[in-house]
Amino acid sequence: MNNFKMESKDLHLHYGENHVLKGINLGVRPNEITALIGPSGCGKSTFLKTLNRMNDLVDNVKIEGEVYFDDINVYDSKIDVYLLRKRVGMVFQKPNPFPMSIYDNICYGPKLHGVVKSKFDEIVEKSLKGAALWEETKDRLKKSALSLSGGQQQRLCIARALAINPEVLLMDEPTSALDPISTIKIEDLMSDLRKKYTVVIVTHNMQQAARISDRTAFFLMGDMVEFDETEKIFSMPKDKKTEDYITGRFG
Amino acid sequence: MAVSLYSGKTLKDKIEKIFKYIFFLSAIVSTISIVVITLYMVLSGGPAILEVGFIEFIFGTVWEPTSANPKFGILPMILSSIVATFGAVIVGIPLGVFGGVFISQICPKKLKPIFRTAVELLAGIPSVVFGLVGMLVVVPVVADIFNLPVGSNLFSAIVILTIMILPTIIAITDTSLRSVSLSLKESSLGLGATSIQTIFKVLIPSAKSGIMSGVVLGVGRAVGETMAVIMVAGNVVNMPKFFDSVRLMTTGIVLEMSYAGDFHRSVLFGIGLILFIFILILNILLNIFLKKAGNHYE
Repeated sequence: MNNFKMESKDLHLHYGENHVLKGINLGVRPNEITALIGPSGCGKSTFLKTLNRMNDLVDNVKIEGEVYFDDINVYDSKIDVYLLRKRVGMVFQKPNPFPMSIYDNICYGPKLHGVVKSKFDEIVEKSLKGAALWEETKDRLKKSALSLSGGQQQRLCIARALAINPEVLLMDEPTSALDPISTIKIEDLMSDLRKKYTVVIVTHNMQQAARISDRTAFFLMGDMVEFDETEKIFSMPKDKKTEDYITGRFG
Repeated sequence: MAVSLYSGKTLKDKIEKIFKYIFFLSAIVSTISIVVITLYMVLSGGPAILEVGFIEFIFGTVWEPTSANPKFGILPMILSSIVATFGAVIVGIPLGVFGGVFISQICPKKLKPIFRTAVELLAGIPSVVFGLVGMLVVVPVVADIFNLPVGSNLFSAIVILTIMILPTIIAITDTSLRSVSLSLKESSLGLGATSIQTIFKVLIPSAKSGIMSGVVLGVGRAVGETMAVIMVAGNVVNMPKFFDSVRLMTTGIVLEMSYAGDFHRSVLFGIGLILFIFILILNILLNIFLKKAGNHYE
């Protein structure tokens, strides 16, 4: 019916009295990286979390409108939210590996979803390779994940998300807590990820959005001001507010 | 100006020194206490144990301290103490941990303060009050349910001890779960885990060392509890059976201290020494276990 992997239609979200998302219409194309940018508090992270219903966990949240994953409305009452989160994986801002071994971190998701144990070795290798972490960790898989550096931990979190074979990968400022070298590694990784997955990334860093994304959406005060190919957004934005933001006049 | 610089420094120095001594004294009080207590227990209980005979004392099954030919075997008391503690811990740990999980993770926000206050109040109730409630409620109910002539028995003691150790375990579980970073919970849910899966596979393992220290405190309280146990356990020296009256090491000391003659009295100190060693060993074992369990990935 359309060529979007995920699409929100007139999506409104309230936290108590706060109207955080004011009717967002945004389509995410498959095998692209879609970046969400905007100043703090503009709703970009909140929007990201509506895509796999992580906002359900917040008290006093009210959501109206629709979010389609392929042709399924994820806010339909009959949706199995746990399966949704298996297919729409997420990487968070702060690297947050579980206090277990590297191996067990990767297997956590597959275990939850009933994958047989004999597949684990293969999944661990594949996921770590997918997150460009295999070479560094193949000899220490049974060591604690907390012994890794911050950048390695974040790649482990990406590997952990890949281990359950998601179709979409949501990334909430995945490099904001990392040093520049780790950031570059993760950015390189993302252009590989695009080949197999659909990626939506929230970032504070406009250069990052410009470097890695195919399309960029600019959020401001709960509205999506502009959404276009990244090149166009950064070279000739249509909206004055977008232009002001990307040229650093506010935010 | 230079003068005030000099004079100020010496005064501050003195205050610094005085405070260092105060801190040192505060720390030394507990260290000295444990040394003195250990010495005192060994000196006052040791000779009696040797006179009775160590094996005879801790493996003897007959306790007849006042007969013409007195016998001082405390095995029934040792075993009753072990079974009572073990029983309370076996029931108390899951109840306490699940209670803590409920308060920190599942309970609606508005109800949390009510539960937390209740747990705190329960922790503050004096043990004699637990004993009274035990006498008036638990003992008759146990007699009723199990169709016994009297409900004062090991089972009632375990029930009371379980209730008494709950608040410690609940409160510490609650606190240590709350200190687990929210991001761990999020990432588990983000991988498609349910809340219950997240609690068992991520939150409890992450809070394990905290929860274990709650368990240690609970065990300590169960082993050492005297007053409440006296009021519900029936206090006859028997080998531990659930529906028989029992006497624990703690209650054994208190019950006879008031009328014990010289040697009898020393033997009671001997029981105290055994109890003391018992708790020491338990603490060491739990600590070893804790280190193994807690530091695995830290």
